[in-house]
Amino acid sequence: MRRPILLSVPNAPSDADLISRAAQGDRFGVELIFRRHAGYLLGITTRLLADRAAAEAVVEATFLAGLRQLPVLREVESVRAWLARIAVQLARRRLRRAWWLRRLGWLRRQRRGEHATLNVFAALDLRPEDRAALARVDGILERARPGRRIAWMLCRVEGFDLDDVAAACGCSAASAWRRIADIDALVEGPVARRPGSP
Amino acid sequence: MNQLRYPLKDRLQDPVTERALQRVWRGIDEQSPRRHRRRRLHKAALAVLAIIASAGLGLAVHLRQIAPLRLSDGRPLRAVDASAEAVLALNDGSRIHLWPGTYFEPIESSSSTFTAVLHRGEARFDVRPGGPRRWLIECGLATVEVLGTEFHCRRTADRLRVSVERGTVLVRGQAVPDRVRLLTAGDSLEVVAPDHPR
Repeated sequence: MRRPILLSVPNAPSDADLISRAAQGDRFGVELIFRRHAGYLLGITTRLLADRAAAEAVVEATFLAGLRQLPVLREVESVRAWLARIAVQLARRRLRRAWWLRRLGWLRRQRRGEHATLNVFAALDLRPEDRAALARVDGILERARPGRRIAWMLCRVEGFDLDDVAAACGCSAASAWRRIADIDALVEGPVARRPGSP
Repeated sequence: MNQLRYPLKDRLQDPVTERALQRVWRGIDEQSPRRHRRRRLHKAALAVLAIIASAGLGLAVHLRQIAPLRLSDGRPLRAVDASAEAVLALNDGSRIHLWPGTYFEPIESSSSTFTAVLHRGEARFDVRPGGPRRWLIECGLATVEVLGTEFHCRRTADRLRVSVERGTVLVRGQAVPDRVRLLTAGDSLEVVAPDHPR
């Protein structure tokens, strides 16, 4: 049997190179930026929104907005964070609209088949009591205000540090921390806090 | 004891599938600036074609208007000595109704003027408003000048009666009081030969 030949690509183009190519309308540059960051963004938005279809729409809108802003982008080395900020803003807008519609009684809760909650994505080897804890967290997050939900999820689910949460939420670190603490108070029982975490 | 630790992402499965990424990429690719540019080019080409087509149509209409006035069936307009009632339908949409015993003779037809003589009898002119030609009807005792109107002329050997049903006409002549008189809808004027006993 013939052994596969491994091709190494030591000099993969940097984000800055790809951005300059994409800004000139190069499709390859655009696709490579997408391939590099779309999985990360889709993961975050799916967990934030608990809705796969909405997350796909948000990632699509994020890239389209990003492509429009590419020519004026300054932070070329932190494209991922920049795209994540756009995605979080779009997700927050969706969550806020859905939250208000639910409050006004114009939108029912998501149907079971559309759920993409934390419990649904629980690792296969997770114990039943941990799954139950995740389900309780899902219930708390479903009722939480969108700003608090997003800040808490970015910190406690995604592992963002406080400054990144504040930047993604477009608020001060103090506000971000307050939002996280509000949900923490409700979640304290189900999940043990990591030692040394804020 | 609870095993869940922050960040919760570590205990979750990745929600991202290759199929979902492909769906998002298709959405982005369909709306990418390059495709937009191509769509814009198509739209611009269509707009240019539409402009050329409408300009051609306008030119055709204009050429038709600047040609001499003809009957609506395309035959040239000639003098008519009406032994019975006759209607001349013209290609610009105007109509001339001739009563029995009327002799009507067109003498000039250009892009801007149509001049005709009502030698005797009675005629009703329904001139299409907004047409390109100034109509001048010589009636012996006076000249009736119109742009777009409906009026009626009756000429005998020593009298001319002009009555206007719609629009405005200008009646000029030596026998006309003050040599010129403006008639509007509902007005009528009778011009009598100066040497005729009233």
